[in-house]
Amino acid sequence: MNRYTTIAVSCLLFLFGLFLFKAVFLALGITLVFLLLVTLLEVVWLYRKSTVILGLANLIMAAAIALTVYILTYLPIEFLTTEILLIVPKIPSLFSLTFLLLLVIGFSLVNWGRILKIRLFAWVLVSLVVLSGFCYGIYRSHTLAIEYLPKIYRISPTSGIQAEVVEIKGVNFSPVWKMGQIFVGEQEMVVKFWNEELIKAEMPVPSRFGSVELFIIRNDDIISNKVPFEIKDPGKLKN
Amino acid sequence: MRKIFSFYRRFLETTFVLWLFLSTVGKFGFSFMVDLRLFSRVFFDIFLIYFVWEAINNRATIYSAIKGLFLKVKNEFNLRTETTQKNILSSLPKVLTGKGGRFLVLILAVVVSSFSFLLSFIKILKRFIFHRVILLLFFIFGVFANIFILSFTSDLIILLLIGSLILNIYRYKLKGEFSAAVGFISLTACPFLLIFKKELIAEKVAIWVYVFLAVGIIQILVKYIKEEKKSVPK
Repeated sequence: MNRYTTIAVSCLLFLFGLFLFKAVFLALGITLVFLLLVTLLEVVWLYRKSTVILGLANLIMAAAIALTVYILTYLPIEFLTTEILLIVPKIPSLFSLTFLLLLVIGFSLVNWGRILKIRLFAWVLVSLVVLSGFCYGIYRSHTLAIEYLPKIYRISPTSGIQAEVVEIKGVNFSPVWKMGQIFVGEQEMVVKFWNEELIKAEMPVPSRFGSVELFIIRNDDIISNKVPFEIKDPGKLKN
Repeated sequence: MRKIFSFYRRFLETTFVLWLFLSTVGKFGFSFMVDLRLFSRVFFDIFLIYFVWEAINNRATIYSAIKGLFLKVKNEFNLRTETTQKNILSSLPKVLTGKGGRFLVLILAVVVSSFSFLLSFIKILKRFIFHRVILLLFFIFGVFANIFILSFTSDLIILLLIGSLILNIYRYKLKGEFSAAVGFISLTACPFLLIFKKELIAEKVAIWVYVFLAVGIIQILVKYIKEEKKSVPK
């Protein structure tokens, strides 16, 4: 970058930082980081044809693409399984690591220098990296938003009669001294046992039979996801 | 096999880059659902395999190097023992240079040369520890460990690292401007660390910023005083 352009951009960045953070120290910090990056880039550009820089660029590219593919494939699946469909509370950490390492194996075999020479591929890769950045941003904001909400993953049994104890497994049910309420349809169940991840509750005398929804209202009035539950008519039960 | 080894090395290097990135962003609270502790352990295992593989590939060179070193040490030790034995024998009266006397002198020579060998080993070790590259690496890794790994602030460690910084400046003839520049560069990290609520790391970085700036200014002052003295006509 031209020296005067760098100075002009630095000044603009400083003003922008000042406007954004309303603090001189932080604005100065951004400007200094920018200057540091520009210097670093200039040094890299100067020695761009050296084998060390080329080798390093290849490694960084392989790592970046592996992470990009990981973000675009694994994270949405993980989010879907643990937060939306509520199939499992957590996927074992070995899965994510194995998947990531498999991607690294695959992408470290590729000669990225040759691929990036083709302009179309270069643009596709850059777009993928940018897309993964957006995807990660969305994933992060959603994860943070629903991370601490009460979630029911499994109930056992899924149907019952009066006085039957239902076991509810999930996360973030809040501790026992902040016990909430459990509803089956419009009726409240009798809590027998309560902790952060497991609740045992007894079915009340049902006002009606059939399919209803079971859910938890926490002490802070936050409602969990609703799971289907069937209240059976004892008169229709076979011996 | 050689091709597979080269692929494996590239895989290891890429894994290292990724591990470094994930660990760094992890410090700022960005999680990618990867267990970093497990990742570190796996990376260490991969590195261990690479290390053993590399050793097996170069076993002939390693074996010859160890053998050469052993022979060199052995010959040196024998030579020293013989010389010491001769020196002792020449200073003894003839009555004591019989068969028994010679044997006793040999034992004494072995003890003396072992001691002198130990002394030369300590000398080599001292030269190795105070080697400028080792000193620099010790300082860099020490500062990184102090900032990012240790969860407490120890005055003793900081003093030790400041000592090694001064030694590095002396050995590399670093200018005061350099120390001040490192201080300023480190200063840029502070606001971001504070934004990401990493107060402890920010505090430690701030300590190092202060150290670098102070050392830099002292160096500049010393240089200025020296130049003043030179410019004053006698």
